[in-house]
Amino acid sequence: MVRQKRNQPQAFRQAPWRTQRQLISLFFSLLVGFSVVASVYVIVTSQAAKAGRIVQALWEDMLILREQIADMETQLAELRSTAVMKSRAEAMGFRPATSDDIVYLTVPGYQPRQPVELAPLRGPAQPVETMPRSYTESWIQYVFRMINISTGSYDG
Amino acid sequence: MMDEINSETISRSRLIGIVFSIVGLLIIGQLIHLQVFPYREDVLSGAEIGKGEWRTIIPPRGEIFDRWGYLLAGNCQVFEVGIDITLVKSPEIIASTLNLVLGLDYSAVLSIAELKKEESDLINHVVARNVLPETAERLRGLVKELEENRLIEGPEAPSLEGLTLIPKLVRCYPEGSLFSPGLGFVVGDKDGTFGIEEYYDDFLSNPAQRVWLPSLPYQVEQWPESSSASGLILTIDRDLQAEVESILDIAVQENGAESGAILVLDPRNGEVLAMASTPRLNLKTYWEYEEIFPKDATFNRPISAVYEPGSVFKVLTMAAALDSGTVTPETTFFDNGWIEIGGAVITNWNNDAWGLQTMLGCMQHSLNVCLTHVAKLMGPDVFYSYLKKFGIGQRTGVDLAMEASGKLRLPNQEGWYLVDLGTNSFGQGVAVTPLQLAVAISAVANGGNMMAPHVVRAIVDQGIQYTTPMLVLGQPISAETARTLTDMLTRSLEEESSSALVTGYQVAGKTGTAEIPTPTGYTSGVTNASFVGWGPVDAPRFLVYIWLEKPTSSPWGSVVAAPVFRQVVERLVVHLELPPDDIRAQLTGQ
Repeated sequence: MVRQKRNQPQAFRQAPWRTQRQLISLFFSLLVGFSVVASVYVIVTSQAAKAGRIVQALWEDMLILREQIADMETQLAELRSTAVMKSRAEAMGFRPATSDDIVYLTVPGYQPRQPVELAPLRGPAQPVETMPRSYTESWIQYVFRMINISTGSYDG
Repeated sequence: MMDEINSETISRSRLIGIVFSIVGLLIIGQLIHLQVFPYREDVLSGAEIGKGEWRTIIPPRGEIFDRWGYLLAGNCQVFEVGIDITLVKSPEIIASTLNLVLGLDYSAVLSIAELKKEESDLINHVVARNVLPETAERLRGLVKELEENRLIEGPEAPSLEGLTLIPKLVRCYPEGSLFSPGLGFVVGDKDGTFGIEEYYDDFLSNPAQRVWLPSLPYQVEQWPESSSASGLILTIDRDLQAEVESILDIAVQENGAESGAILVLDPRNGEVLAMASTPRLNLKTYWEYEEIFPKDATFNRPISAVYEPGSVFKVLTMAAALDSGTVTPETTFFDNGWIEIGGAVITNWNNDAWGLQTMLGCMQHSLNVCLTHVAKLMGPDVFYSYLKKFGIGQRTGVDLAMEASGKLRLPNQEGWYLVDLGTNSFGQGVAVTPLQLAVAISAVANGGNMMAPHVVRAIVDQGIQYTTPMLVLGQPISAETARTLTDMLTRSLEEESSSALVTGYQVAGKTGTAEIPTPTGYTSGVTNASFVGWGPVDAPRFLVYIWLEKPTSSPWGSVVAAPVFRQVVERLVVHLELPPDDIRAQLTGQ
């Protein structure tokens, strides 16, 4: 009797409104999900676009500023030229020092005036403090290094 | 009935199919037509509109600094004034404004301003270049004023619309004529001319770059990175250079000389600390070049002017004789006032006989007869092999454009006679540049080592400074010879109480007076007066070479050039922070 009841087809089905509501819920869930992803995408890309525009504007400014700086450097150099400086010094009552005017003293640690360095000098590579491995090493690299150490094949 | 409907539907469907197929084929055909045939470029360029733009970027020309970082050659902003014919509203106003402000021809400007777009290939017509920023600002003010006026009075009011002001950089020299023969100059957008500007033109003139700038902000990574500044740092000391030029100008004027040159070298490393020449061009007004240097006039005498140096050359002859073991300072020679060589008779500068002399006396009294005798003792092979080692007749390789090589005839060359051995020994019949001889003699000042002269101390490229390496040109003589000769020339100056002596500093040196040859021989009666000296003799820090051409106050180097050496050294020791010898000995002994 029980077996017979089990084999019988189901005598009812989901109410249509329930099915529709489930479908609508599913659709809206997907829509919300899609909207969230899209909004994140829009925010990120709009920020990237804004940053890009700022970079472009700064790049243009840089070209203009570079020319203005070059011009101003030259103007400054004119104001500091030998002829101008000499006439200003003379107007203030100065005259060129002679060797008789100069008193030489021994000053421990005194370094004579050195020629200008406008940029870092290229020379032999300087020893630098290396960053600890924990900042640069991946987990896999760490594991392999430990294995190598334990097996005695580590040479670094 | 059913069959009729079906057949009608089928035929209509076929018709629609055929029509759509034809339309489709036409579209495909048009696509091929647009992409393959002459419209292709237009279509492609049209597609590029809005995607970005091609831009030509002209980086500033590399700057030039002195050894302390003072700017000697920079860039300054000027403007190109143009007329955009598509925007012009009041041609007469533009013409009259440019006539008033820039002094341009009214009718010429008007004819440009009235051009229609169809009448010209150009849109922007440049009417004035290198307009100063102040003038450009004045024009901008006028444009703004008229625009404001138009807002009040309406569109019919006068306007300067269409007037364009495009900024650009041009070469500027804030120091004017200072070191101008060494710097050279740049004319407009062209290549460097003379000196450093020409020699380092490839490095200084950063080429114009045509770059693609995408409009899409996401593609900003494709925008080119800005190139770091480049430049040259010279060995020249600006303040010393100014003082040396001032001393030279006064010396040339006071001695009635035609021109002059002064070189200051550091014999230890070949650095040129100062290099003065007359006349000099004010680089702010470089267009006066042809007026100041007519025809074949020499722009930079220390490296380009070739002349017979006279007795300063005896330093090399004596160096060769000492180094080859031909003579020692104590070797004696009896001077009877003349000597015969190659069928010619050589006499002394005053035609006198000086009797028994040591080599020191020969140098001290600058005896041509004695030096000819020494050259004869050495023989041509030894003598000329030393001259070649000293680099006579060859360029020094200094990093400046237009260096001359000098003239030296060798025994195996056509035109050489035995008499040349005699005349060459005292600096006649051989032609050198001041730099060439100064570099050769610097070997005596630097323990026998001859350093390559250079004016660029360091190069700054892509944000890194590269120091010019020191280069030894050769070691023509031993350190012992250099010491011996320096001692001889120190005593020589001191014993004759030379006007080259500098109080507190022991210096070595030699005068030179050379007759200037003419097509008929040494008959001009005018001379080249020279002096070469270095010091402090125990540890030389400087070598100074003086040359005054055709002085009229006195023909002798000892009278006109030696005092100039003293004046230069008196200023030099202050700039080099070089204490007098006794104080230096005390300080180093502490």
